[in-house]
Amino acid sequence: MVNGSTESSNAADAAFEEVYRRTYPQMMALAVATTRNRSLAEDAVHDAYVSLWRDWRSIQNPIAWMRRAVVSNCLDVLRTASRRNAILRRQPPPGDVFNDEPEEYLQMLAGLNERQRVAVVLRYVYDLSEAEVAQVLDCRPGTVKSTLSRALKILRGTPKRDAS
Amino acid sequence: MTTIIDRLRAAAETYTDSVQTPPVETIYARAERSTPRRPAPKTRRLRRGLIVGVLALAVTVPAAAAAGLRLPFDPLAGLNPDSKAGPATSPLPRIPAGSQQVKGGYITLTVVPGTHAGRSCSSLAMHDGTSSSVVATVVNCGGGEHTANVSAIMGVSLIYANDPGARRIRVVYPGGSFDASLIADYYLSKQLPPGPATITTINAAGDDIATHHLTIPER
Repeated sequence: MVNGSTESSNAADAAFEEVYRRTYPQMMALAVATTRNRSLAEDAVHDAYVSLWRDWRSIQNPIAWMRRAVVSNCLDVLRTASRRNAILRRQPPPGDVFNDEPEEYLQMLAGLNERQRVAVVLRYVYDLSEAEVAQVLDCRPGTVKSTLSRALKILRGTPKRDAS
Repeated sequence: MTTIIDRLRAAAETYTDSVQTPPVETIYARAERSTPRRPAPKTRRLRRGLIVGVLALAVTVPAAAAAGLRLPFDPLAGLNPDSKAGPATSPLPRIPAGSQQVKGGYITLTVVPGTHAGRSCSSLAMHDGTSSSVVATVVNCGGGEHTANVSAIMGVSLIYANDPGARRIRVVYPGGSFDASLIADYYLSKQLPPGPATITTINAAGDDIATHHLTIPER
């Protein structure tokens, strides 16, 4: 009985580690796009993996669950930072802190708000359907459609950088 | 013609390829340290209210002090080593204040190898607000370094260093002055695991100003 329980626990750990290794870079890309700050993104992603590990047995679709958890954590972090800055009014918001983040990737998303960034990355980078994006953002598919439409208008207005 | 979406996909792919996945032990260690469950909404609201209250106090107290008003209590009790109104019982070792006012230098915290392994250091550093940012460097056991700029908020900065091999944290202040003892106290009280630790304060020229060998007690 004890052996069976240990084996089952080891199998769960192995499955979790496989998902972790396979999805970590994508989750970081999503989190960095949302927060535009690598430290905040790492924190949000790591917290999401901690929750995933804890609830591993009850989660049916870990990748979809992770996407939602990462976005939710990132939006929480940004809300907290925004409240703090509203009180202190002394420092630039974290959105303006670029640090050593990937410039090309983030510059392309400049001008979009956080929900637009999430929608664009999930829809066009990870090819999720509008319904799936709506689940992550906890809104209706119609809202995602209009969010994407506005985001694309802004993106197309962004001056193109000469690749050469 | 490359569309905007193709360019975005290419940029995202380049970024994803560059991400280095930390060992899964980082997640296990974080799970061990954190609270087991997300608090109930009511608890979260209360906690949020408390944080806002503390931040509001942090703004009003210095303002009141600047205006020459005397408070009936010492708001820095427990943080300021000079304060006579410190906590009634403090089991933690204290760094003596005085000689540690540093201009444009940095403080290095060395943890005995192994004791810090698997920990994600999330810490507070304090400075006088004249510097807009600080730089945190985490030196791992293999000698590699992870550096991140951190924005300062009201002289208090959050530093994240998710490095399972971290054994030394260096908080660099490009400008402004700070009291290293305040930072050291914070690390001692919140972050460092029990066991021996060394705290060295270094000035801008790189000279050691003070080194303290301490033993962090079990909490």
